[in-house]
Amino acid sequence: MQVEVVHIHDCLDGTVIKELVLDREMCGGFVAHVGVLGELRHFTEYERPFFRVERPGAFVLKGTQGRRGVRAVFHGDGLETNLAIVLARIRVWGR
Amino acid sequence: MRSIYLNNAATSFPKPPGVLEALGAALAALPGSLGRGGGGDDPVRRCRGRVSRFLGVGDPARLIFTSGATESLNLVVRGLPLAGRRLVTTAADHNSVLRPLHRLRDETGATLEIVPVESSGLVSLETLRAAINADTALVAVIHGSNVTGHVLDIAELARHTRALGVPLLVDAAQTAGALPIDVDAWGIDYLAFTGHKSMFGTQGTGGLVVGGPLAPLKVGGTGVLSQSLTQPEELPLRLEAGTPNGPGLAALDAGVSWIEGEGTDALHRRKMELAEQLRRGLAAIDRVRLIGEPGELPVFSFVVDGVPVDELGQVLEESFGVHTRAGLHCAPLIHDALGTAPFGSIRVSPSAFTTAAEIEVALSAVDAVARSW
Repeated sequence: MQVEVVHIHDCLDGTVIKELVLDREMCGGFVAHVGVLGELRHFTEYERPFFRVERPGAFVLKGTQGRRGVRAVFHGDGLETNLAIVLARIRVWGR
Repeated sequence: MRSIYLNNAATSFPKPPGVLEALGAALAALPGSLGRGGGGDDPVRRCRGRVSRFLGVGDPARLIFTSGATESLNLVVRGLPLAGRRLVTTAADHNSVLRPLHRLRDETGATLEIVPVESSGLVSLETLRAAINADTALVAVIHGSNVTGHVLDIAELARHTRALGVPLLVDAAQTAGALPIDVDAWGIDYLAFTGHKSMFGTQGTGGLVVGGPLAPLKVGGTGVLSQSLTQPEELPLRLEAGTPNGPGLAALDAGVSWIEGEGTDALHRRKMELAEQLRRGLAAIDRVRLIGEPGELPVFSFVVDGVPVDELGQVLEESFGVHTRAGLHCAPLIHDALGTAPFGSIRVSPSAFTTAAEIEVALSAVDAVARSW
């Protein structure tokens, strides 16, 4: 899967927010695929299911099935490493 | 997925009948000498006349068109001789007031007194009056809060500033078009407004009512008096260099015309009924916490305890099609007083076009999130 990384903004508390724009809409399989990166909460009862994947101290990924944008909040240090981990996982989806 | 738009405090949507048509007609017509005495059916002149009447301004030349309230507020803060002087504002104010004042303070050594907001969300008029003295060079205040919907009694405040000879700058971004405003009768010196909220115009339109001398932010072409290499002195030319946003002002004229036809009070009552329905419904949902006491505008904020504000906003929009505004709403100081800093709250703001059924759907969405999170 192709991913475009859009920088949203740097927060005053040191976190960094980025939008990960995918080349196709997210489905339940994709959510399960990225869910292994941390603690997954998948709200399948919503009209459009929402998910959040949290790796404490590293990042939170949030998105909605049927959409192409994942909101990623990276905490503190290790931005490059954590971003690389997330992108590596997303890019192999569907292979 | 259907969309339920509860973010009219940011930009009104949809626009009433006539606005899109006016915008299209202005774009389809031959460009004329907009606002430059070209005669005929000049939308800029027509809009200036209508908005002046609508805001209680006797002399239309005192109404300057700008790109919006932010430019208007900057025009006053940069255009008055305020360097090193004493300035007064409130913690309820928007960054469009706070940032220009803080820049002036940092650049010139001006002193800035920020009158606090009470935990109810109100700014005490008594406390505000007490902060103003004869040494004050400017009082800049928000008329209606974009977070709580509370409205400041500007007529009463203006009586005090007038008595002391202190210029009063009013940020009417939330109230122009939403509540009756009478600039001349109230004694307001400078009133900034935006076109794209309750006046139903487009983004990129707005204005300033000018009640005293002001240095221009920009100088340049005015379409008339072109032999002079200095900016004309008379208003509105002095403060309106450059080609005006003719199509945008045609749309703004149509928006205000529609309000005049419906009646500001009637529209306000309709919106307040919807806001009350929303407020009552939210109050009945477990873990929902309403922020501040009810205000006089159809705008208020809430949080759901245990649900991060940004994620609640994202879920409501992406999973349920309910469009709100999450965060600090460009008004960081009021959130300190309300106990919602640093993450802010969810702001909701229905319009006269919102339906009671849409409010019920939005309430169901909040309830679903509150139950599942």
